[in-house]
Amino acid sequence: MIMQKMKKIEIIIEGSSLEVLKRLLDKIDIPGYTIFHNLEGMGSHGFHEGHLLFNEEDALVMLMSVVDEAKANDIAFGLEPFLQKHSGAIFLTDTIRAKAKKD
Amino acid sequence: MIVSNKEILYLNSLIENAVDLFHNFWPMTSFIHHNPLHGFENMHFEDAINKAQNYFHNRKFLSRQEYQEFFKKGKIKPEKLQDEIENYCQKNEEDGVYAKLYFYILTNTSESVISNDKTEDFIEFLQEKLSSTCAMQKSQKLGLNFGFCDALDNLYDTNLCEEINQKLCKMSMRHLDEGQAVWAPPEKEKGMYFSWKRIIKKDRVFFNKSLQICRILTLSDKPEDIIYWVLQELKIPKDEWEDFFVLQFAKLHGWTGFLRWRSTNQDYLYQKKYPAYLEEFLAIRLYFLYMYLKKTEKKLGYFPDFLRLEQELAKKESFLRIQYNSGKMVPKFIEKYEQAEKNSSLEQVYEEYMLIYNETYKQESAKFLFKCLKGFDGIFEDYGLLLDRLNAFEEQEGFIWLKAMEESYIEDLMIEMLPNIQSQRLNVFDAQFFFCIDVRSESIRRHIENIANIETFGIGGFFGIPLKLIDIPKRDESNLCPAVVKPKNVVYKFEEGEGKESIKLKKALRHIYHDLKYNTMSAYIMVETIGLLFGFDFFGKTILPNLYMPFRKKVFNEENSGKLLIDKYPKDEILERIKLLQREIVKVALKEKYELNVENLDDEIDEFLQMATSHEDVLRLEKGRIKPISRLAISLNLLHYEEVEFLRILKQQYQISYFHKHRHIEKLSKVGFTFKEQVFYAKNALKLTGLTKSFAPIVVFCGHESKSENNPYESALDCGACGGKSSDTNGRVLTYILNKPEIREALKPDIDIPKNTIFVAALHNTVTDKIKIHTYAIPKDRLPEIMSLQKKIDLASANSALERAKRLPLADKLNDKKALKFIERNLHDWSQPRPEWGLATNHSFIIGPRDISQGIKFKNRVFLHSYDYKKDKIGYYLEIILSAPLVIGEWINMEHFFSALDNKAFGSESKVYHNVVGRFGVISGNMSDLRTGLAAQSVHLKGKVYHEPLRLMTFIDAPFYEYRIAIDKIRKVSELVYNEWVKMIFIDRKEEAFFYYHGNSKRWKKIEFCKIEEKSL
Amino acid sequence: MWITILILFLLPVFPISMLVNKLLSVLNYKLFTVLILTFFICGNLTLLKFNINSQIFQFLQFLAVFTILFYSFRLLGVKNLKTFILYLYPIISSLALLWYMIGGDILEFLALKTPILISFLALYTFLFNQFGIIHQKSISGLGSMMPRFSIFFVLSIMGISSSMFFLGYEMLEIEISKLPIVYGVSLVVSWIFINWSSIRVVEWLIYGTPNKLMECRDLDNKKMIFFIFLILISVVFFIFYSLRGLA
Repeated sequence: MIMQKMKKIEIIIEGSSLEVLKRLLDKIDIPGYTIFHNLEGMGSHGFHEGHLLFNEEDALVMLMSVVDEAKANDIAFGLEPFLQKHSGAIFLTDTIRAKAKKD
Repeated sequence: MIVSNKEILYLNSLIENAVDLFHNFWPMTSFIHHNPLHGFENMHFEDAINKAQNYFHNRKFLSRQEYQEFFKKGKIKPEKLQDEIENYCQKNEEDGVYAKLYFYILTNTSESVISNDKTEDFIEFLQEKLSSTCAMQKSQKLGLNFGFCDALDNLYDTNLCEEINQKLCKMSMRHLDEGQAVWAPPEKEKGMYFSWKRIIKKDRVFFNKSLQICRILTLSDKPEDIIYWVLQELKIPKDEWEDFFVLQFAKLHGWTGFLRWRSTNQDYLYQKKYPAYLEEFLAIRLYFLYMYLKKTEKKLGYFPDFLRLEQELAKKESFLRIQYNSGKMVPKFIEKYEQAEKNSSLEQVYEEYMLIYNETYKQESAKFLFKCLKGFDGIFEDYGLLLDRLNAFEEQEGFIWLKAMEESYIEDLMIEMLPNIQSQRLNVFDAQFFFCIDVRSESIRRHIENIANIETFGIGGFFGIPLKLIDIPKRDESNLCPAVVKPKNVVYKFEEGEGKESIKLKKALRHIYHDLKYNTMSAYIMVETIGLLFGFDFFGKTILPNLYMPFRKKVFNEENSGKLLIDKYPKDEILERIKLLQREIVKVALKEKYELNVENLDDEIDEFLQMATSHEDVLRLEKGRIKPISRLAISLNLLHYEEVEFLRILKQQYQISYFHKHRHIEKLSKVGFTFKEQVFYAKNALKLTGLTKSFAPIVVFCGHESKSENNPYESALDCGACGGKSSDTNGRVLTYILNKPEIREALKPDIDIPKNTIFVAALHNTVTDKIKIHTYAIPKDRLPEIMSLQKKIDLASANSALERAKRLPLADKLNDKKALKFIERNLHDWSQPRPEWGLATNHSFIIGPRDISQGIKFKNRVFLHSYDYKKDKIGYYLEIILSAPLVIGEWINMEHFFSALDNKAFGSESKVYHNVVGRFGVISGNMSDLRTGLAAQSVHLKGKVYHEPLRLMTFIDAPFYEYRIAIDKIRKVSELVYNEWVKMIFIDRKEEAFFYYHGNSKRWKKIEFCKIEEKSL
Repeated sequence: MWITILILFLLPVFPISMLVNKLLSVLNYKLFTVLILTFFICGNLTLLKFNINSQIFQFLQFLAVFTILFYSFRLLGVKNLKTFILYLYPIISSLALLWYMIGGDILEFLALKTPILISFLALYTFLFNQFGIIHQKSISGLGSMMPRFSIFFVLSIMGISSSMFFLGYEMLEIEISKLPIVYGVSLVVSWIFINWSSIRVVEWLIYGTPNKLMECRDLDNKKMIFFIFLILISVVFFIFYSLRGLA
């Protein structure tokens, strides 16, 4: 196993902003990400319920990715204006990525 | 210069923030009604309209004359108007005499008096009283509604705004085209920015290698580089970047809206093939802006960047220039100004102008005061203060009228519904009909209930089943569900009921027709020979539409019921089908490549397919080997290298590979609904509307659609809950599901459907109001019942059509027979810009059992959704209704509201000037911003407002204290209610009162039933 | 001799037109329109008594064509209706002179042009009465506020500029064809400029968005009948002279 020091970035936003966020991250060549749907949560904008049968725009989603420190900072600062106007949050954690050695 | 990742993200974040204010625009093949001010819904309604004016330059409300007409017709009650005025005075701490004055001004409609001595005296008197007032002189600043081009246009009478807009429109039309243009721009598949760069480099006027910006254009592929560079060159402060972007997008908000939709819908076919994004649009716009500013630099002697322009605007002479160029200058000063401009002595004449300006202002103000005060019985001390207050009042006048009108309507609705609320009906019905909540269902439901013992229900037109329909005969793919939902299930539709030969002939005819129409040479060659055929078509369509059009539609096979694939395939059947399909493909490939006709070699082909679709490279070229490995190659006498070559061709050209096989499996797995899903959706549809027992022998799910000719807005008249398409398919799917005994078994004990109840699908045509019950899936023994029901329905349809005809211009004066013929003709008449009124005049949404609205003539103005709170203990189904059907209803209501209010800013003006562009939208004339709203003919009649702009008045029949939490739980709905985009009223039978969210006091008001009863007497 | 001077003053060509224009521009609008009309009619009537000297003939022809070219060029930049009329006046005066010099019937010219001129000037007076100065930057969009006025205005301006769509065009054709080719080409060029300027005037005055704060009165029935009468008279005269020409 190769151990690499990375930063984990978790972005929680509304479902209606997901496509936008994916596109923004694609622009800076992010290696990959995982998306968690139908989250419930409580924030300054009130309580967001989980899955609504016929309206997916209000549900919450989380996008998680593991990138190097420089890129993580770029993302956090670059998305600042977006998060000023849209409800959501970014969390950065130090993490180690264990990558299997492949022949 | 290359921007860093951080800057790229930063710029794009700002762009996303900026475009939030502009609503999405869907392609018109599935027109989605939307609120033009959707981006402002987080603000209060009044604040939103005030703010929106900065971007859209719209009028904020109807004119006083228009409201006075409503007042005359009794649509606005005097006491309600008085209440609103008093509320306004209270908020602004103005005393009683002002309230009286405002009421007098609003309701006084006497014609202007001919000027005589007395009036002249009074005006002079007023002028003296105003001697201390002076016009507010606001020097223009660069900002939200005054950008670089606006500044230069106003200062130097250039036409920059228009010219830049034209460049962008031309470019957008070119790149976003979806098959209407025969020639496409170069390398369109590489993206809008890339393709545009290739063209602009050949432009001698707008591309100059010596300029830095052109060098950046050549070296960089990222639009952000141009954006960043221009922002630096123009020296715009960083905190103003977002506003600057908003301004740029606002200039062409139609194209912005469409690009915004495309950039968030990566699955859209044309976006996949020919990507186009907002940052590219902005970069191109900023490029042109910079080039035009560079050109004016020569004329002005300085480069008009932000700081320099602000300096210029602060000068006194700029005020004069702006006054002159924007047409506001006092006429008698114009010649002097022109003289001074020639002599460059504008600064000197400034003071002189200000004197005249102030004098004129005082004169105009005095005339204004006179108009307000004439005939009014009241005394005022301070006329300057009176003038200020009157000006402020005029700014808010429209909201006062609007609220008074809504209050009047709400009270009338309460009075009308009260008798129904206080009584109860219990009946056994012969049939039950489910209609869409669409306002056009209201009259047909009423007439059906009058004619026969039938109960009707309202539910969102998609019947609670969101699905994606892949229509194979029409080669069309559409989402049949509200725009806020992404369907997870796919339904295929196949052609049915025709012999192979007739299909071939019709296909050939269609091909020829379309080829001739779009081929450039045919205009020269074919006119003499086949021109007559087209002439035949032209005359047929125009002179005998009722006879000719049905025949034409048959030839072009435009109507076919088709066969639907609803059940999910079990996995082994999916694999079997894929195997069969791939087998056929291999046979076709062998014929095309080697001209071999292959029969009886199925096993060998299957073995070859195994090799082709396996994960590893099973069949690799072995050097020196001649004898083939696969049995198929052996049987066909192919050599080894030939079989390897064939494998490669299958993979690359015929999509037979591991990847493609699993993709097909995934796609086919999405086809249809599993058993569990079928039960779920069936249960939802019935529980939402409250029909869980006492089923009639026949239950009809009636989808609806509209048909018209030559109407780019046809989709706007279809079902809004189905994404602007016909809701026929959803009805058919639901009936298929509910007729299955196993489903009925699974629904027990909550929902008990008797054995003899059959579910039937029908289609309501909203132009003619005809309802056709689909008979192909009905067992033979039930057919007589259905036919007799159809006869009753036909009579109700005719009655409903006649009622609606009375509101259609040209048809209202015809006798019954002629009126029906006229309506029938609207289906085929390609010169008719208004085949039906559609959803115009909508104003309310009623959520509750049919009992409360039964028998009341709503004149097709109300959305009716069935709901029974007694069967929804926790409010779960109410939440579902609020989160989707109500939101869609609000979009429809707001679309009509703003298109009627200001058809130029939010609507799309007259259909006469429309040109379809790119097959997805319309523009006015030959070059304009994309028009995104409703046409004038849809909301206006003879130049006057026909759709009365009123916010959606929503009534919910449920106990207030227990069920109001449903509103608070859904963020979007609570935003709409508390920001007053919709008016919300609960009908609480337990408390015997209405609970109404009153915006003025920002709380829920309780209005007892008895008080309403008193008013009705 | 006196007649020549009178004609040069009443139907001014360049450079006398500059003087005449200066004089007219300071007058009040009612006097302005009445004088132009009077000068025009009297000038034309005086032409009946005019016996032209062959020496002056060539020179006068040159001046007339030059006047038309010069003023039609100046018309392009005009933003004010009064200036438009002031520049148009030498143009139609020169046309009258040219028409006379190629042997045309003066009465025919008067018959076709006078009603249109009266109509145009009357409409100008009507407008000035309401708004004062009629400038591109102060008035626009009259088409939607005053439709009756707009119709007659457009007809009048088409007639004055001898637009192809209105009567009087044949006269211009005949003039162009009978003059030497250089003059003919100049007249064509001027004609294009005049029509272009007329279209521009119509564009800013009639089309566009109206200033909503304007209060305006449209033509009432009596005035409308008057203008219809003027148009009809032109048509009658046109038919009369065409038939006469055929006979």
